[in-house]
This record gives sequence, structure tokens and C-alpha cells, in this order.
Amino acid sequence: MLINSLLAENFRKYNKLEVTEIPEKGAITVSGANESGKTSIGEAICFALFGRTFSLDKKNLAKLVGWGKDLAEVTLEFTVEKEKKFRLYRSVDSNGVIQAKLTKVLLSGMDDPKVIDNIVVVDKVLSKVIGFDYDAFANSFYLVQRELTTPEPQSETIKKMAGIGDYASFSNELLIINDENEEKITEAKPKIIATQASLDEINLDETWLPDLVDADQTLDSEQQQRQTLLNSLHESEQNYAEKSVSYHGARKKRGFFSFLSWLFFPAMLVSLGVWVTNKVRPELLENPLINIFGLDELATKQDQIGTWLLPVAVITGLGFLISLLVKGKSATTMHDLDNEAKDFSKTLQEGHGTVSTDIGTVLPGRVVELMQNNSNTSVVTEAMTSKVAEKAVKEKVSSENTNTSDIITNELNETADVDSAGHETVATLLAMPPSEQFKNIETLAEGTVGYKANPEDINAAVGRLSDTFNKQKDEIKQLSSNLSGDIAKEKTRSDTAGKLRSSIKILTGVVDSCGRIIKVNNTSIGLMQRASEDSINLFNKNITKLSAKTLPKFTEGRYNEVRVAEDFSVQVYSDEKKGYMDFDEISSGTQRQIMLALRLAMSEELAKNTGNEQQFIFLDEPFAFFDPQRTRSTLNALPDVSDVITQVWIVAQEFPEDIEVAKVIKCPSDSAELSV
Amino acid sequence: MSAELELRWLKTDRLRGANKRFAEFCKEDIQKQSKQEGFDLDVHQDAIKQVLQKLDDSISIEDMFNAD
Repeated sequence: MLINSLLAENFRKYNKLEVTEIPEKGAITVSGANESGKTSIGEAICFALFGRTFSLDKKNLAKLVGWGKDLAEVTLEFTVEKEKKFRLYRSVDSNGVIQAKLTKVLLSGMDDPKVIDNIVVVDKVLSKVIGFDYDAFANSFYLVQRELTTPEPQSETIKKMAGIGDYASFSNELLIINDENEEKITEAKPKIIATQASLDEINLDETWLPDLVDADQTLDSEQQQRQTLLNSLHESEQNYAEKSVSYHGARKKRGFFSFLSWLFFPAMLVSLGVWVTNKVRPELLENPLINIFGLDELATKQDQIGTWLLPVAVITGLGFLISLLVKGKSATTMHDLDNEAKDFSKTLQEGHGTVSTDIGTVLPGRVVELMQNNSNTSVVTEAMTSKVAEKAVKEKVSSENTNTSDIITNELNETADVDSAGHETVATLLAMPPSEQFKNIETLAEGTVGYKANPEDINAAVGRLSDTFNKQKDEIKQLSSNLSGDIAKEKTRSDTAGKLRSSIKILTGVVDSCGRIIKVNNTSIGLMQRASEDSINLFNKNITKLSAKTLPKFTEGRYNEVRVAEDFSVQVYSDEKKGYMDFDEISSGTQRQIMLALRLAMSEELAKNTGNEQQFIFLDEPFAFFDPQRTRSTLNALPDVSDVITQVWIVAQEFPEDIEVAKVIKCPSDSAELSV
Repeated sequence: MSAELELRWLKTDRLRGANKRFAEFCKEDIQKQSKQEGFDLDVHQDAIKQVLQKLDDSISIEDMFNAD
């Protein structure tokens, strides 16, 4: 930050103060007698920038207003980062009320229309623009001789100078955040364990519900197939008798016309043969005709043969053809009916196969086991109910005859084979048809081909199959109903498990997220610690390097180097003693010279670490403890000691005439106005 | 790809002051840190971004003027 101009009105002793065209590089000397207003120039700069001065805090600023005036105003124009120029206005009235305004100055020299006039915002923006606050400024760029002491090792300013100002506070913030996250993890972990325990308790098998649903669908499908099969059986059974009659009728017709065809065919051949012979070689027929009818009838018979045998041959030929046609049609009818009979036979066999098949064979094994257990429970319940019923029935029939009682007892015994403990081993999920009732089903099915089987036997077999189908249908319905209950239960368990898993996922997410935050924060803290050590090392190296340039000039070569330890304690290298001396081993006058060199070096570091490539410094009476020779030497050296601290304001009562300065400001003792 | 190359996003020329110094330090430091056991580049990058964001305060002077 470099100052371009300073304007003030009614500020301290000045009614009007104008310092313009301030050079960016070189020494700017501010001289004058006591109470001539030299320090007021530094105060004006400090007031403009921070709303306070070195000696007056914000509560006492009304003292800055000139005697008998109402309002003190300061306008400071300054540049940061070479091209960014700002105009800062700050005023305080006699009541201590402060106002401030910050404007950007455009390259044209005009003010940007955007103006910040809220004092809080002005101070906030200013802090960002110049990169340092009052404390840093007062400990570096604004040096007052009487306060020129060693830096406080743990002060924020020295950390800011070393470029680590925010590290400690940010590390502390991160540690607090880490504690909060640790707490969240500590809260979440037991919840995860408890939720996992609940989940384990449910012991959900992910494949169980799909198996149950699959079994339910299989049962549903099985019911539909059975119903279709049953309908088909009934339909075929109803048509069987009628078709049987048609089949046998067609069979008789085929036999009859087959016989006719055998008659017509030779008749046709004989008639045609005789007629042709009579026509072509009549002499061949003469002897047979004479032998049969006598010579007298020969001519007559030959005429009759010539007349009648051709129509006879035609008629018998037609008869033969018609017989063949009718025979063929009957055979086709039989073939069609036979095919239907084969289909029926197949359906019958399929029906028998279906009722004889345990439904368990098409269901997943585990589901069958469950159904059998359900069935067992049901049987146990039924058995217990039966026992109670048996007792009741026995009591009821005790007065009746023995036969009735025996019958009932037998029936009860046949109801279920329940052991003394009330358990029954169920081999199948469906009641299987009694094998003796269906032992002829295969024969019947074979008999339907060619309609050999008796329709009544077929009706009886289909009736038995239908009864079994219906019984099994009810059982499947009951199994399906039980299964639906199991599915509902399993869904509830699955939903509960899902919610628990979801909770675990959320909680695990919290743990992971908090864990990562802690990891990142610890990495940040580690980075800042290493960066801090690196910055301090660099800071110390730079201080040593910079002070090596200035210190010999300030001390006339007696001391060459300042070293700042990690704890920021200061040591000075003495050529005479060929070693480092502690700061308090040196005379107080030399201490001030060393401190000036040290502060200059630190100021340069602060400027670099606050992004200021060029910086002004204001030294108020820095040579109070310097002898004339060291003063001259220092004055000559100051403008060139640093590439960063280029604009050096120096306040003193008087300056040697022969030193080279960039601007001279002489404060008048007898006037309230200064314009340079 | 080396960890150093992974920090290409970290443009030091856009930064100034302590931020710039920190960013420069990070570019050097990652070469050592990446050789450490258990080094996690993502975590390391997030940590750098976090510190830079904190140091930078993110709001530009231009935004501050526009916001007022």
C-alpha cells in the first residue's frame, strides 16, 4: 500500500492540510519544531485508515477536531497492488461521531460511482483491501520511537508478519468441529450396534419372501390348470357316449360298404369282360353259350349280351365307386373320432397324473416344509378337536347300541393317524386318491381309443377324478390362504428389516461423514502446522537476510545480523564477539537501532504476507537515540533497504541538508495550514 | 500420475499474501506427504481447499463494493 495524497481539514492543529503528489519510492521527510504538527500527519493517516490514532482510541476521537471547529475530515488516496487506487474519507465531529466513505478511483482519475459509506462495511472492505489491521499497522508500518520495543512473541501481529496469523485460530476452530463430530460418532456407534442387533434378531433370509411369493403364484397357477383340466374332462366325458355311438355306426357302415365293394368289383369285371369278348371275339362265347342255352338260343343270347351286359358293367362299376366313397368317409369319421378319443385318453391320464401328484413337488422345498409344519399344526388342532368330539360323541352314544358306537369309534380312528403326543407325519400336501379306485384308469384310458371302454365306466372314473380334484382344490385354497398369511408376516418382517437397514445406513453415513470431516480437519491442522513451521523458518531467514542489509548501516558495522528464534526471541550477531548476543546484553541506544532494523525487516515480511508488493512505512522520531553519524548513515540507507518498503515517511525535528529525499514536508510552527 | 500433478488446480499466481505462501508450501509439501503410508489424495486436497477458503475469506473486494 502506497499513499498518493493526504488531505485534512480541521484536524488537530491543521485547518487545512494538503500533501499531494507523494512519490512511490524514496524518503519523505516530515520536519518541524515541537508542536508544529509533524505527528498529526501520521495521526491523520492512521485515523483515515483505522478510525483511531496511536494515542487516541475510538472513544476519544473528538479530540482530533480542531479547536473551535465542529468536524475534522481526512481524505486519503492510496494504491494497492500497483494499479488499484482507492479514496478513503473519514470524519469525526465534536461529539465523536465518525463517518467513513470508500471509493475506487478509476484509471481516468474519476471516482467510481459505487461508494461504500457504511462505516462497518468500510472497515471490513478496507481490512481486505490493505490486508492488515490497526494492531499490525501499529506494530510495523507505523513506528513511534518511544514504542520501539521487541515484538511480543505470541502476539497476533508477529504471527501475521510471519504469515501464520490465521492458522492458530483456524486450527482451534477445526479442533472444536472435530470434538463435535467425535461426539456425533460416539452417539451414533451404539445406535448402530443396537440396530444391528435388532436386525440380527429378525434374522431375515432375503430369499425366503421371493420363495413364498413364487410358491403362492405356483399354487394359483396350479389351481387354474386343474380347473381347465377338470372342465376338459367333463366336456369329453359328456360327449364320450354320443361319440362312441357315432364311432361304432361309422364302423358298421364302413364294414357294409366294404363288403359291397367286394361284390361290385368282380361283377363289373365279368360283365365288361363278357361284353367285350362278345364284341371282339364272339366265337369264343359260342361254345359256352351253346352248352348252356342250346344252339337255338345262341343268337338271342349273343344279342342280349351285346345289349345288357355293358349297362350292367357300368352300374356295378358305379356301385363299386360309391361303396369305396362311403367306406372312405366312414373311415375318416372313425379316424377323427379316434383322434378325439386319444385326446380324451390323454386328458384322462393327465387328470389321473395330476390328482396323484403331490403339490409339494412343484414348490420350493423350504416352502413345502413350512406348509407341512402348518399342516401338522392344523392336524394337531383338528386331532385335539376330534378327541374332544370323540369324548362327546361317546358320551352321547353310550346309551345307544354297541354297533353305532363301534362305527363312530372306527370313523374317528380313521380321521387321522395321530400319535399319543398328538403329532402326525404328513407325507404329502394333498390328500392322494385311494389307489384302488384308480387302478383301472390306465386300462380305461387305453379303452377310450377305439371307443372300446364302456361310457358308464368312463363316467364313473371321471366322477371319481372330479371328486378328488374338488377336494384337492379346497386343500390348495387352504394352503394358499396359509401361504398368504406367511407372506404378509414375512413382508412385515422384511419391512422392519428394511427400516432397520435404512437406519444403519444413515447412522453409518453419519459416522463415515463425521470421520471424514475429522480426517480432513486433522490433515488441515497438520498442513497448517507444517506451513507454520515453514513460514517461521522463512520469516526468520528473511529477517536475518534483510537485517543484514540494514543493521551494519544503522550500527556503523558493529552488528551485522539479527536472528529471531522459533519463540521469536531476538539475538544479534556481533562481529567483535564473533557470536550471537541476547538482545538485553546490548546498550539501550543500540537496542533501538537494532529494533529499527528488525521492525523494517518484519514490516517487509508483513507486507509480503498481506499481499502488498509495495508498502509505505511511517517512522515517527526514529533517530531519538541515534548519534548524528548513525542518523545520517541510516537516513541514506533507508530508501533503498527494501524492494517492498519503498515509501519511507520519516519524522524528525530536522534533517541534514545533504541527504537525498523524495519529498520534503516542513511543518510550520506559526500556521494552521500546510500545502506541499 | 504424481500427487504434485494432482494439484494443478492450485493456481498460486491468482493468490496473494499468506494464501499464496500457503499454496506454494502445499505444492512442495505434497511431494513429501504423498510418500507417507496411508496418504489420501482426496482428503489432502479437501484439507488444502478448506484452509485456502478460510484464509481467502472468498468474497472479493469487487463483490464487497457491489454488495454495499
